[in-house]
Amino acid sequence: MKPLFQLTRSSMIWLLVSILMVTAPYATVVPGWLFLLAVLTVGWRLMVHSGRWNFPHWSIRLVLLLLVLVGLLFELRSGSAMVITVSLLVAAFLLKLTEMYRRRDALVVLYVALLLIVCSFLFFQSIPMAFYCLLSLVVVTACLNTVYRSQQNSDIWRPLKRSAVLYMQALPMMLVLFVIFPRMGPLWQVDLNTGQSFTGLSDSLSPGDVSRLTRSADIAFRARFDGDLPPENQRYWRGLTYDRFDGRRWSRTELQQESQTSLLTQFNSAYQDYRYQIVMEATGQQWRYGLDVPLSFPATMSRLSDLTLQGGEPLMQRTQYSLVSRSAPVREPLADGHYLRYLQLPENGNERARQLALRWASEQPGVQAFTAQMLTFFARDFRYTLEPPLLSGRDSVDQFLFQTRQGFCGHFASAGAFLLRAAGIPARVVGGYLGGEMNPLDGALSVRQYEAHAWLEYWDSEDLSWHRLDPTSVVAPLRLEQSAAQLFSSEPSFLADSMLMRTGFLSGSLLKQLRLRYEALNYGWHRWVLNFHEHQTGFLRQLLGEISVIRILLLILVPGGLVLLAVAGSLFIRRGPRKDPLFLALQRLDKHLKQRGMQRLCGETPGQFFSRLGQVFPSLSDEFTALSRCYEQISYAENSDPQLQQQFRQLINRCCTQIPQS
Amino acid sequence: MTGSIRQRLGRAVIDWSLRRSPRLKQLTLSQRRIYIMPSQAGAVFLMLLLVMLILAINFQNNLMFAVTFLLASLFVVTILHTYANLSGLTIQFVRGHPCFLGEQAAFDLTLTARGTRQYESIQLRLREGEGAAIDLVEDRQRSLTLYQNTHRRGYLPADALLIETFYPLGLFRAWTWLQVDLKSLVYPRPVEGGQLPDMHDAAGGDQQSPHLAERPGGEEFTGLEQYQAGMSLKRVAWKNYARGQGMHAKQYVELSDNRRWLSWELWPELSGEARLSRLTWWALQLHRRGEEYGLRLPGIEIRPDRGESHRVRVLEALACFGLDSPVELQESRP
Repeated sequence: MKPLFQLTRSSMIWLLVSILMVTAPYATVVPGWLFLLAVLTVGWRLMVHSGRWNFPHWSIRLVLLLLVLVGLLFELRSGSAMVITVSLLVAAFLLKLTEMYRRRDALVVLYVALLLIVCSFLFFQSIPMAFYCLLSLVVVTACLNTVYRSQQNSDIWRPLKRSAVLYMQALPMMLVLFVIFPRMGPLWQVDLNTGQSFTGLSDSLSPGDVSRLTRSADIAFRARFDGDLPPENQRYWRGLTYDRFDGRRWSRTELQQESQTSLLTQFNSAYQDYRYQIVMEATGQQWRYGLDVPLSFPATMSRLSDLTLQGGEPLMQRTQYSLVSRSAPVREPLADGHYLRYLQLPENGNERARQLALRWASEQPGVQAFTAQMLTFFARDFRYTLEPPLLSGRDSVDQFLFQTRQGFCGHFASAGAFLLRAAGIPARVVGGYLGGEMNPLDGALSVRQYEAHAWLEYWDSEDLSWHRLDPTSVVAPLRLEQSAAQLFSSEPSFLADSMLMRTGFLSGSLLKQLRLRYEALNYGWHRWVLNFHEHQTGFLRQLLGEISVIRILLLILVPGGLVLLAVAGSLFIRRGPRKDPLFLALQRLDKHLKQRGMQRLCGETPGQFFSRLGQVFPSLSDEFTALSRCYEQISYAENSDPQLQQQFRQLINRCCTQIPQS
Repeated sequence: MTGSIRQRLGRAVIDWSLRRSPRLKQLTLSQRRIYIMPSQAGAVFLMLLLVMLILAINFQNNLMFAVTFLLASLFVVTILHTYANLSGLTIQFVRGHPCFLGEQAAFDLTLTARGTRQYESIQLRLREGEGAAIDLVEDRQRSLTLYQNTHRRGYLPADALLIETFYPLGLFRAWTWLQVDLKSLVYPRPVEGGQLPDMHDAAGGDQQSPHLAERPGGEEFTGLEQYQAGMSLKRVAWKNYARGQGMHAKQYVELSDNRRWLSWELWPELSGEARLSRLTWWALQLHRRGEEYGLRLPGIEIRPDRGESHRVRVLEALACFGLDSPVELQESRP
């Protein structure tokens, strides 16, 4: 008959702790009403534990289950599939609390807990979270341990210690596995949408969009250069281009992938190449950031005809990629379709702006002259501000150019592109970031949301090339020289959402050091842990010289074997008290005599043994009498004189040598 | 069908491992005797790891990889811990207790830890018996008693002993089957019934003078005995107690002539086993009354006597009556 394993009370406490620990990170992810369920089930369970209530009737459990299912079905209409799946797991986990009394139930709960810990990495990947999950793992394992402990043993901390020891012993092998396990592509397409919302540029640009981003100090991406960095006023990180204008809003149309060869041959090698890696935060968008003209980029990405980079799908988690860029104007013989696309303007509206553009174009022909005119115009009486007046009218460009004359980069880029197009010069607005803060600790450039920027590019028919034009550079030349943080620090809305950064609290020298250190740590974390798959090959090559099956096997077996040996040693090596030297000496004599069949008999005291031997070997009878006396002195009179012990050992040795081997 | 195959397979494995295990009074578990395999929970755990690995691959999530590998390493490390929870354990087979048919035979074992090692949640079970769990954390040595069902009277060798453990995480089961060098004597089941004829009739003309037997509960005071819980308070020697000599009970006996013979021939209408059962019951009765009684079975005669050792002799004779050479069983040890 199989015994029915009841859960002990101490393991029930551990179970509750594990459940709370595992579900806590999900509080921000799953629908809020699951919190009620958690309170209800945990509370009920506590009442059961204290013996006040009974387990809920099956009908109550059924009703709860149905309610949860209905609730999740409702959520399905709004939330992402992944969130729903995880919510279902959490709900099942909580419901299981109300019917948990046997070992089997506990196992189900704990295994689901392990799964939930793993799944929490879909939503959170920070360093503190990783440590929290490690702690949860230790607690869940401790709980698993209590399930297999008997009631007799009630030391509540012992399982935790045991579990921590197990993890310490498991850690080295885990590291080896982590390093060598081949990272392959996804087995099937998964929906990475976790229902998060992202801060960052969007695929349309209305006046005021970019200035809204200055409220946030979130990191957009980090870049680390191999070799030279571009000068500060050249750090234009291109993200996407906007080519359609509807009178107020710029948006982008689908672009085709650029065929690589047609472009590359036209590049002049006099320009500087930059080699760098980017760790980009999730944006929920398809575009990826890069400098100027990306020459080489990962195969998972593609380069569009406007020379921006595009990933295979919306970016739902932090990613890392390596790029080589060249800072050069882009030569492109604009095909008819493209030519028209970059001249597109609404049929009417913004008439004054159109007239201004036509006047400039007729006064001084030539693209260069036109842009110079435009920049002078902007430089003369326009003001650069984070909080421009709202452009409410239908003719927003007119309103900006002739009335308010205050704007952020988006306004200038938008108006500039409009003027260029109105004058028959192909132009587009570019969205991205300008700048980046250098972290001296790890040499990585952090680009934050408040460094979001918009500028424009126009096509010059003389050299058939696209040129960058940043009206901001004339309106607020400092924006290019200083960091955005310095420039805007007096504006009230700047970093309104990041109070710590805003108050300058984090820019004091010590705190700034700490912040930089933390960011460097984070960068290392992103680079070496979260995006290890990007580095694995390089890392292994560095470690092993070359990657061969034998070397990899050695890499697994040597540390793995050593660790297991060490663990085995700590487990099996006898840590008993040292043996009595008297006993050892006696054993030696016994062993010697065994060959002659005269070993000490069962139940024979050493005294009897010696006197018997004295009779058998009359020549040694003196020695044996002395031995007997010696033994009695040491063992019974508790004489701990070391000389006596030595004498005993010498006597034994003499006897051993005198008695010939058979 | 598959169930029966599994059962048969399981039995074959047990028999095989038993053949590797000699009958010994004492043995220490080592790698020669300990078997270790993933438990059912361990198999589920492996599947869980597979699910995690697939998740990690699909989401390209290195932290998921890390946790998966950490748990996989944990799985491997647990092998050593589970194994260590049995290895070095010394088992001594102490004694088997006699019992009556229908009761459970009890066997005493002693477990000793090696050195300072700690053992937790060790489960022991005789093949057909119920399980017991034991920890060796603070104590270096512990005794426990295992029980086994009885199906027939006579000497009952202990079943094979299963020692298993799932500690620490239940992912692995380490176990061993041992031959237990103990036996218990199963007395016939005592069944009440019949009347015991007067001794003179049964003995068929025993000419000895009537013996005076002491029966407890009479009126003759014979002395004091140590008071034990459950004794009537009326019998307590309060005077002695008041003198601070401890709690004692006064012993009274009734003196009477009570020598009797328990004979095979008494109830010819009963079958052999039924006769043995009834004789057993009577032997117990007479022993309890403190009477002298003797036993006559075909080929065996035990002179009337009383006392514990006499009782054991009589019961042993009843238990082994008619069975093949119980003596041989007794000395089957190598």
